[in-house]
Amino acid sequence: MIKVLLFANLRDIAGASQIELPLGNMVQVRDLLADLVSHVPGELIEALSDESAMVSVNQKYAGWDAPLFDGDEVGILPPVSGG
Amino acid sequence: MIDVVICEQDFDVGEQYAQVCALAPRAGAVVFFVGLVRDLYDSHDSSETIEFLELEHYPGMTESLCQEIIDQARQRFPFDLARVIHRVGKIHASEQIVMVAVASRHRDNAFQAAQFIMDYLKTRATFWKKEVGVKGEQWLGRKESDLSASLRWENNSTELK
Repeated sequence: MIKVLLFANLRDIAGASQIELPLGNMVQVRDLLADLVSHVPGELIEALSDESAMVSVNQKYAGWDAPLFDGDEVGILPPVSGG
Repeated sequence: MIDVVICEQDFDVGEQYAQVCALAPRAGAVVFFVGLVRDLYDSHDSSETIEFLELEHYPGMTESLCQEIIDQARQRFPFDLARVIHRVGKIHASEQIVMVAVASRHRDNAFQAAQFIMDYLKTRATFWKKEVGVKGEQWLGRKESDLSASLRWENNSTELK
């Protein structure tokens, strides 16, 4: 399984802070983002499609082409606004 | 002393200053930056005031990123000690939200390291702010001015673009 964590506005849109998806045929982060389409509201996909959201794999920033393995934790990170 | 603290409680700058001085006895310069919550909306072009910010973060990743930022700053501007405190949860206007402290032998490294840490914290660390007030609730995105502030370090220049 892949544990997907959603934060801030993305979590509000999805109505969930965490989604578990089977690894299935997913190879890269971008496969996961494509698969998310069938699990979350369309507005979330819109929010993701401008690619302003960053992604992390196992709590490290990663590119959309990063490889995925069973048990990975993937964070979908809206533009940060700390400080 | 722990370098990075993410917590809901407010912090006492005087107490932190005493701790930093005690732990960096050979320092000749101590720089503190303290960020406060502004009262006006950032997300609306209005003169309306916010009631409070709601801050959330990615536990685990945020601490690692802040530590990485401190380590990068140390490589560029060697210092004796740095400490970051960032609050999360509900924080009202004019309250303290973030603190960066750097102690070094000479002032230049302390000033530069503090600014470097703050600039990267704004654009890299996994915190998210929501403004809440009479104009409703609004998550804030990253500001272009914050982005250009952090980019200047990558261009190896200390001048603001």
